[in-house]
Amino acid sequence: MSETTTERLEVPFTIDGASYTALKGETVLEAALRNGYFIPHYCWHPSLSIAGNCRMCLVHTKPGPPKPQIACNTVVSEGMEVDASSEKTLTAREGILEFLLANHPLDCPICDQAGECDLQQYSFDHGRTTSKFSEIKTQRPRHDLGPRIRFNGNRCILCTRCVRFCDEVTGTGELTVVNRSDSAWIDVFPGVPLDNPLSGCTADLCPVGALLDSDWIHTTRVWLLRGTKSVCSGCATGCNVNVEAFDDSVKRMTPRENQPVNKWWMCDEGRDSHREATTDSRLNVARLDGQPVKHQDALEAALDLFSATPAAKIAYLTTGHATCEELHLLETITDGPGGVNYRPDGGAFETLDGFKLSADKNPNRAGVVAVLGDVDAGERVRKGIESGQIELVVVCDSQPGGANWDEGLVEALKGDVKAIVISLEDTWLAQTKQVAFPGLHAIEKDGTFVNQNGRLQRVRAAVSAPGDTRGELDVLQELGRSAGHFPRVLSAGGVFRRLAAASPDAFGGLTYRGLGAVGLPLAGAADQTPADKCQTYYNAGPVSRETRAQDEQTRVAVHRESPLGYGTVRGNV
Amino acid sequence: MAGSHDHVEEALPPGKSFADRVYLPAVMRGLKLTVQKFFGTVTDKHATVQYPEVGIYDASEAERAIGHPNPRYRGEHILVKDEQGREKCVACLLCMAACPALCIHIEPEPTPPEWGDRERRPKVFEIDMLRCIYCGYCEEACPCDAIRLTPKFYTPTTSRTERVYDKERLLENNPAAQIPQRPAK
Repeated sequence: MSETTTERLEVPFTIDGASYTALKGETVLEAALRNGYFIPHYCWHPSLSIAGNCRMCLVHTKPGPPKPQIACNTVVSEGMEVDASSEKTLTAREGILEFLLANHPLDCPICDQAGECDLQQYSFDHGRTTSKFSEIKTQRPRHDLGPRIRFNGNRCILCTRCVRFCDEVTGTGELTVVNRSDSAWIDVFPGVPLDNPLSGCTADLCPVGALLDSDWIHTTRVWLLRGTKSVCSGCATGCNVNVEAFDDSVKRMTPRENQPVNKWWMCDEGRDSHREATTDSRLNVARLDGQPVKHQDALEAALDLFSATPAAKIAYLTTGHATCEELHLLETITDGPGGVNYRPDGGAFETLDGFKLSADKNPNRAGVVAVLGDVDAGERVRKGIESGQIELVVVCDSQPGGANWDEGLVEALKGDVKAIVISLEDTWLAQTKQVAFPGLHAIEKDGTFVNQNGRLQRVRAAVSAPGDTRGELDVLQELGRSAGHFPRVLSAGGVFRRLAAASPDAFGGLTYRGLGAVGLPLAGAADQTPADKCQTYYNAGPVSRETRAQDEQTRVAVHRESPLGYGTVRGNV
Repeated sequence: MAGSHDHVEEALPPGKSFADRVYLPAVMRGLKLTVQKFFGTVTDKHATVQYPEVGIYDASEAERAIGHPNPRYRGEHILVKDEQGREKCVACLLCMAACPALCIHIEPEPTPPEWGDRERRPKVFEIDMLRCIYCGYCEEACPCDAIRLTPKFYTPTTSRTERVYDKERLLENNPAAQIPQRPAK
């Protein structure tokens, strides 16, 4: 939409006497939001068709009828005078809220939407202080619409955002409105649960607490969550997410708007991807010959092993889950061949509006190509081990579930070859080889991933790692220091600077800080959208308006046992 | 106004009479009170009490039971139960949000399906009484009248961990239980 705006004619109009310019064909609501004038709305969303059924965006227009009109479906005409804040308009708005709240249970204290609820916010901004309603409120059903979504009919305001999402974005059309008037509710068709790959987005879109993510429900409150702008590590799409944590544990992941990458959406699988970091099979202690030891003891053994082996006899193995920085460190500290394991393909999905959920479940496959260039699945490492040219293998395996190496390579690794393993999972390599260090999951580390379209994006640490986990960057730099590579400890940003200097073809001109919240395209990438075109100007977040506003703020961890302490800000840009 | 309360003695400015200027009558009035209280210990009209063996005021048995005559005194919390003996708390975490001392820690969980009348309850409800400043904001924030401050103040313990009250202890935090027991001889 933004590409065509320059060609469209501009129409002058006024809101409350102030002059603005709309584009020809634009509605009052769109033009107001684009000019930074906020008109409250529920049912309108930039990705969905105009329904005009919440009536929240009522304004008076001149020329126009004497009655208020909905701003979301009124096209701006030349010289139009929009009245969005006179007493007449505010009374209309108040009346609408009164109707919306007529059958609303007002159970904010136990509603998980409270704190990011548009109904709560608009009631506070525009609503009446008291209710004139003395009748008995209607009761509508409460049930699960699908495996992920719980529906509470009493809270629903029938904006039909969820229904239109399933019709127009996923194209699956599970949801519909049943019955009429005050006994209407949202439901699925019999035998067809709401289980499309993006079903969690319906809960995000819901402006009230009618559709809630049952995965997250009843665990904490939104005002306690601290958001970290990161990237999902579930697949090569690289959806921009807000990793929301409280008490140093991730409670949920919600999408952030990034038009060329994930629009406003993210898949259900991605929402669950933070659970990979809390499995029982995780390695959370360093190991020396399979026995748990202190980090320092393991590090000393690893340094002895590393410095006793000539660099040419050291190979590395890694996965498509390693960040570009880790890949660069691996490549720098070893001179032998390298091998990469990729997670097998999973389900793909494409929405009608062009959001592509990738079948490639490796978040950094493109980064491997950009940093390491031509690298195989470990064939050359296997040959090196078998011919005795390789004496030490550095394994950097941050793939959830553990990398599934080729059979030949497994046989070779089971032999006499020594290995320093940095592993997310407690794999057989970590248990049997000389030294093993615990690795970090994507929600715990800083770095960069390159998505399927060549967009370089930052992941940010949202929570701390379990146990005495130092992470890949730390261990690899310690190893490199023994060979004179890294005179001082570098952060992910420092390693990236070296990477950009070492690979100017792909990373030239990019800075770690400059990647910002939405990332930047690599040279020659398929997606060349500049950062300022990644977000639309509608101030309509993927979750709701209020959450979008909260994304910009820093959420403060409030807990007496928080290792971060009260008021600590972490993980922001 | 102060004048409307009979029991309030107004502090008058020093007068101009001879008695006021020499201060002696006022001093004697004060000494009279001192002497009265001094001999009161002999005639069993104590100005002090043998705390904690007895309540701090010689009040009725019911008041003695809570150790303090003022029912509005803000002491330790209690989690209120409903008619069926379940906690009234729905784990909305508003007290946690209102708490200026950050001494409340709650982890919600869904209620058992047979409950029916509410969706969630606290799995963990802890108050760190050492951090608490007894301001009563939690009581004020609670939409369900599930947490209250009782006049209970007699709570010495021998360790810090005992001062972190869990849900069970808060539910049973009966102020009457603090009747000080006279040590056995």
